[in-house]
Amino acid sequence: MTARRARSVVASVVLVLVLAACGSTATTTSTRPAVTGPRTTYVAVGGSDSVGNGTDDPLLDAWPQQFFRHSLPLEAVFVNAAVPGSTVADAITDQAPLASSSRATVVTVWLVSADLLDGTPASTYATQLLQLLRSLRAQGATVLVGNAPPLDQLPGYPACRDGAGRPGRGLRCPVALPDPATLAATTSAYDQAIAADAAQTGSILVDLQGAVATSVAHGGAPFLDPSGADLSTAGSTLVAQAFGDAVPAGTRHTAWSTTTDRSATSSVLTRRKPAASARAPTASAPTSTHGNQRLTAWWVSHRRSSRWTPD
Amino acid sequence: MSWADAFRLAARSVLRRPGRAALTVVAVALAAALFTAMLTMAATAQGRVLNQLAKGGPLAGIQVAAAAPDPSQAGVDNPTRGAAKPIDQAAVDRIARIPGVDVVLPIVTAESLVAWPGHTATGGNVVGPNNSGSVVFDQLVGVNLSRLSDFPVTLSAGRFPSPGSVTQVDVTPVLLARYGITGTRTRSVVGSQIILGAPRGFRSADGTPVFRSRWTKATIVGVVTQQAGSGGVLASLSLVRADQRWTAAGDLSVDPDAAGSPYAGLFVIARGLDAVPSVRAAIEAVGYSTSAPENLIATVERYVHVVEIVLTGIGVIALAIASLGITNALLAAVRERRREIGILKAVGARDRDVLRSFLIEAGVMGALGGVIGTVLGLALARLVAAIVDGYLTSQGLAGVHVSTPYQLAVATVVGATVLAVAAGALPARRAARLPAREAVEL
Repeated sequence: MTARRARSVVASVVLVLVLAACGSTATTTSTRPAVTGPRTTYVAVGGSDSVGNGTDDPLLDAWPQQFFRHSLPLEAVFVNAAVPGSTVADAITDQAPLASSSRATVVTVWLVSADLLDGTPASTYATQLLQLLRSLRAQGATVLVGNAPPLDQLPGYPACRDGAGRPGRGLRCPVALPDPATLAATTSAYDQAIAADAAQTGSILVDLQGAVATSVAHGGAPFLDPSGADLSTAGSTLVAQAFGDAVPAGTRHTAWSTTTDRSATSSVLTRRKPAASARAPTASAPTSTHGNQRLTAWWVSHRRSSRWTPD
Repeated sequence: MSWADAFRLAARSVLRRPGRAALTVVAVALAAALFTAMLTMAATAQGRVLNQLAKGGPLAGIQVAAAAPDPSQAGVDNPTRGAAKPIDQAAVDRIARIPGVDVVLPIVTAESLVAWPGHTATGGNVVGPNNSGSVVFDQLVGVNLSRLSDFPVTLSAGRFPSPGSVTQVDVTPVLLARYGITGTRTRSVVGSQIILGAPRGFRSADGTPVFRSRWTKATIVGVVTQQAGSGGVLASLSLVRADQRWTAAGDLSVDPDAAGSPYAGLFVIARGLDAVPSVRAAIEAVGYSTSAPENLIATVERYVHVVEIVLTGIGVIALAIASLGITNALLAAVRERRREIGILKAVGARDRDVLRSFLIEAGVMGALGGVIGTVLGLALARLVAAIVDGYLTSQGLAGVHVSTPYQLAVATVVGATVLAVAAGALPARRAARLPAREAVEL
């Protein structure tokens, strides 16, 4: 080794050592901007279908929760105001005030089953729904209102058509259901009222009728849970997706179409149809456990003694 | 003889016997490396230990609880607290005016559900059948994220949330452990999304309680061990306050233990460790319980100082031994260069010119050895720290970070140079006293 080469080697070693000694620890940085601005506040107004009855995990699988997670921006805030068995008249007094006090910017309204089962006339339903939508729109909220699913096309319908008290093969049939023609006519009248009220108030109509009919026609996974009374997790996903597709582009979170949940929904639509006996028309089931009920029951049992006291 | 001539003469002498000069420089370098590495590692270890004691916060940090002080616990690092006592803005202002207080940082907490779709938690406070489910009950801890370095918070993976962010949070290993995520797996949660639900109690028409949650989405950006407040999620003040407001507006009280306190606690930083006792006493006089590891830190600092003295002594001894090598090398040089020195004297060089030449030679070797040794020592300290850091982070603990101690580096180089010049003084004096006739006699 020549002296020159030796010197260059020594110089290189010294340079490496200097660099090693003077190097600083790299810190992790993120290019994702932090959200600090105004937030989208979403309030779900609804009945049994909106509180997660029949889903695997009501707190997380209720369709408004799925809609919130996948269709709204990261900075969105969500309050589920839904009450099991709530009619439109109930919602005007029980749920609309919460939407107002929460300063909701997005509201979903899906209130059909309880009024149908209660036999609320379509004209009354239309008037009350118009009042509800107007009050929500008056706050400046974007309102999405869902119409009635095709109840007569759901596989469980024939099992309950014969009347309450004669549940077929484990199904819980809450009330006697009308014949197909009457049911279709009533549903159609409700849907017309919903469409007219939505148009009159500038609300966005979410066509659950079409979405569910398509799912049923393609042999999708059960829309209802095994009891036949409530939305299944897959049914909740289907409803959440339908609402998500209707969200205005400026409000929508783009993740819905790219997440695995979308794939899950697709598989819902294409899975083989289970036995008809495992299904029933949608209906409220006040005695079943939904998300808020489960939370309340847990809270009372776990926290009451030390931390929870009514004032 | 000018300084330039003296430098030239010294350089020629070094280059004439490169082997001996290199060995002498290596000896100094090794001693300097030992000195630098030991003190750097000692400083790093001291910082790590004190950081651990202060839980990642400043050493002069004092935690103030929303509780009255227990008089029998005065001066104790972690006293038992008295009855709950709200901390309001007036109390914050009073504490901020206490002499010796540098800054008062508020801490807020909010009860919250933590939902993590796709993960299952087990154990107490899990909202689900058989204490199993993806939703757990926990607390959010809100602090001023732009001053996180002032809080007792240690980052073990990812990063801290951006200041003011309402969608970024850090989580603690305790929360992750409830989901069965421990050790190195905790790093994998960074980037995951969780859902936070602030509860509010409503009284329904028939009087039965109903709880509804205000749900928000949040991205986990880091994993932290934190002592700022009791809770598994660290978030911004704005996020936690919004949840607090929602919960507080309910018909039913969710957390009576909070006693209506807007702040769950305060983190007060005193102007130095010495001011901590008086500030704590003053805060307790205002009516709040405080805790600070002041006694423990003082004890540890004393022990660490003893260790530093011992290590410094070892390093200085090593440098002194290396300096003896310089003395030896220069004495040999004087012996070999008697003729040259005689000739220099004969052509008019004065004693001080010869003295200066030899001192420069010694100083150059000392400085060169000092620089190389310092660089080597810092590199060695970083290597050891990297190994320790790898071990600690593999255990899910906060790692260690070596900062470059510039003052130590400069002191080592200067010290090595001064020692070398001192070591070269004897041979230089001997060379300077050689008479001119040496050139003729030899």
